[in-house]
Amino acid sequence: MTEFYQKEFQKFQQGVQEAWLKPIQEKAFASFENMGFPTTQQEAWKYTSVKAIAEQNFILPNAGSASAASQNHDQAQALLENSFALVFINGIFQPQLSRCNDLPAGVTILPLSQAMIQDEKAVQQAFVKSSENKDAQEKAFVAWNQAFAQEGAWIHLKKNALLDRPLELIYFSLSNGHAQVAHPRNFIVLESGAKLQVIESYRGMAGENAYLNNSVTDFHVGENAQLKHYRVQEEAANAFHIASLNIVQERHSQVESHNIALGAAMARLELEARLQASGADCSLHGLYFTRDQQHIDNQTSIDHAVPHCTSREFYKGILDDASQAVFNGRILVRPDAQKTVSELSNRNLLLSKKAVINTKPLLEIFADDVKCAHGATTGRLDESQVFYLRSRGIDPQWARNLLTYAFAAESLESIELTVLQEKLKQVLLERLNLKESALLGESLAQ
Amino acid sequence: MALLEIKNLHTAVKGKEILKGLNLKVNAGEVHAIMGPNGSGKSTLTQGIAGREGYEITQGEVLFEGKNLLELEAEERARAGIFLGFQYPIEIPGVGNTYFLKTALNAIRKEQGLSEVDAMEFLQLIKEKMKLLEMDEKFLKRNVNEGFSGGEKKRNEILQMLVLEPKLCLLDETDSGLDIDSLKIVASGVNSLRNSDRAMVLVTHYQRLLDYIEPDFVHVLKDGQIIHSGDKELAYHLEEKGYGWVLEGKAS
Repeated sequence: MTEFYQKEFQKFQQGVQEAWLKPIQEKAFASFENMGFPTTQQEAWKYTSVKAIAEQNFILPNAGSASAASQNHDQAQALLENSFALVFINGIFQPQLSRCNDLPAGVTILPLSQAMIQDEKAVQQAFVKSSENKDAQEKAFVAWNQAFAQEGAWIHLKKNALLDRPLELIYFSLSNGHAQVAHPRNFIVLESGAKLQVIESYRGMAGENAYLNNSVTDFHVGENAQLKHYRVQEEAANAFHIASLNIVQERHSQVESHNIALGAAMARLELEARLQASGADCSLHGLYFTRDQQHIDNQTSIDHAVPHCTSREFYKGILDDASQAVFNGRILVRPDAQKTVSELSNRNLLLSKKAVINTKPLLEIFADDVKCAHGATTGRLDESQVFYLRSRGIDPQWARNLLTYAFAAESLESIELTVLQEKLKQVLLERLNLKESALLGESLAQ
Repeated sequence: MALLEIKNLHTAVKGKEILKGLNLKVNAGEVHAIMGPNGSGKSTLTQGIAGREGYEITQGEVLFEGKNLLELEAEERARAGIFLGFQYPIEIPGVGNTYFLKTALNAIRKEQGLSEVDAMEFLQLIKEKMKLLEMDEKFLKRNVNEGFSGGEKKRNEILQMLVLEPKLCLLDETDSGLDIDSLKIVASGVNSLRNSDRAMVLVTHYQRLLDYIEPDFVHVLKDGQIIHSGDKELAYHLEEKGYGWVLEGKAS
């Protein structure tokens, strides 16, 4: 891999304007080169092979490919009618599709490329900080992202700032001609008392060649700040998606993060929430639904570093055909983190005998006065439920799809953003061939 | 032609023979009660007729309207007009009661060559039936049987039966878990369906149910066979004297 990416990196660096960024990216590229792509020999990658990524040469997208892609902008458009939106096609910012005018006071929403000009000092600090982070030194994909990062979302909410409508970050991809890689880099900061609802969505159209999205997103959630985060991964069927998501929480901050993973041939998310000041509360909800030969890997970690924090994590998975999923959920309670209350559950539904789930919920508790629970289940559809439906004349396949939908929909119920909840339910209904969807959406939810 | 005819039926569950040569003939318009001690095979009979998997027919035949019922899948039997009221109705979280029942009704109507009912028509129909069973309309918005009390579940079974209007109603211990008021309501629901085209088979432990739903025939099922049949008076004798009385051959 090295020679190809060395050349790519040299070419890339020639276009980098910011003198301060070059050494940071050089250092990151050196780390990436040193580490190379992870292999299944490494514990963290035991069940997920990135061989298919390592064997290809992914080029960086050029503006031309994005403008060609923007012809397909229907799919690149915002999901919600009245949201703020930053839209990227093949990693390249699309001002004509984006909406970030008339922002409330104290709110900055910029594409990273723009922020490097308007807000250079702050962006520089963010990059310096991130290069000091162990992730950039220990995780090959994060280092790779850091080496090539040039675009993404730069979001800053000042003290008590409130974004009254949801913000959508839309990454639409399509490959034309070459295998392409984009390295979205998102920095999102909520100062104390700020409130934000953000939808991070990844969509794509399958082309002849696979594309790869290698994204890194950092959240800093200040004292008493509230973040609702919705991550929707609907990449093209032959795409690769690797992502790192870091959430740092201050005193009495509240974070609710939903992670819906439906697309890509191979996808992996590493999510880490660090509760570093007392009173922080974190909820992680996840749903993955794999089919065909898909492979979806979710690595989550909630780090309780201080006393009196609460967290809960509910991940559900549905696996069909010969697909595979990995769930690794870790809750770390450090010695100081007394009075921690935390629970973790992972429930999986296997629809096929060939589907494989590797699940490992893990509590690591080093404090003695805590309340923690964890569990994982893996099962098939309840045949007595199937029979009950059939005994009323309902088609068996429909019965199975309906029960599968019910299993999945439960985890979407907690999405407060109703429009998004309904859209996601529609996606599931379509995937499960449950027609009459309008009616279903109505009466099934009741 | 009988609506349902069971000839020398042998059924095994997990390799163990439960029904051992059962014969039963049910004509349209008739109500049959099947009584018998625990483990005699009552539920095996009803679940088997409804087409539950795992009930292996080793011998004999079951004819419904003269056709071989055993060739049909569970959903095909339901569409042909067979309804099983479950002893333990299944809870289905995440699936709305209204949606479920409307889907079922339309599956059956499709089989009959009828057009689908739309949401408005259906709502009207179901509300009318719920009134008959004195069910609160809040059940429309609940998930199928989820969190229902035992009595509510049984009423929900009868509600489904009223909506689907089957030809053959198999009611498996519909009376168990019902207080006397609920029993009366459920019975009046069942009675409202009685007509000359429809037949009912009630499986019960107690004569009490038969005070409200009067059977034409009462059968005693023991060890996988019907060992005695009679009219409704038989139920009183059983209540009074127990099954031992039949076994000892004193019934004749």
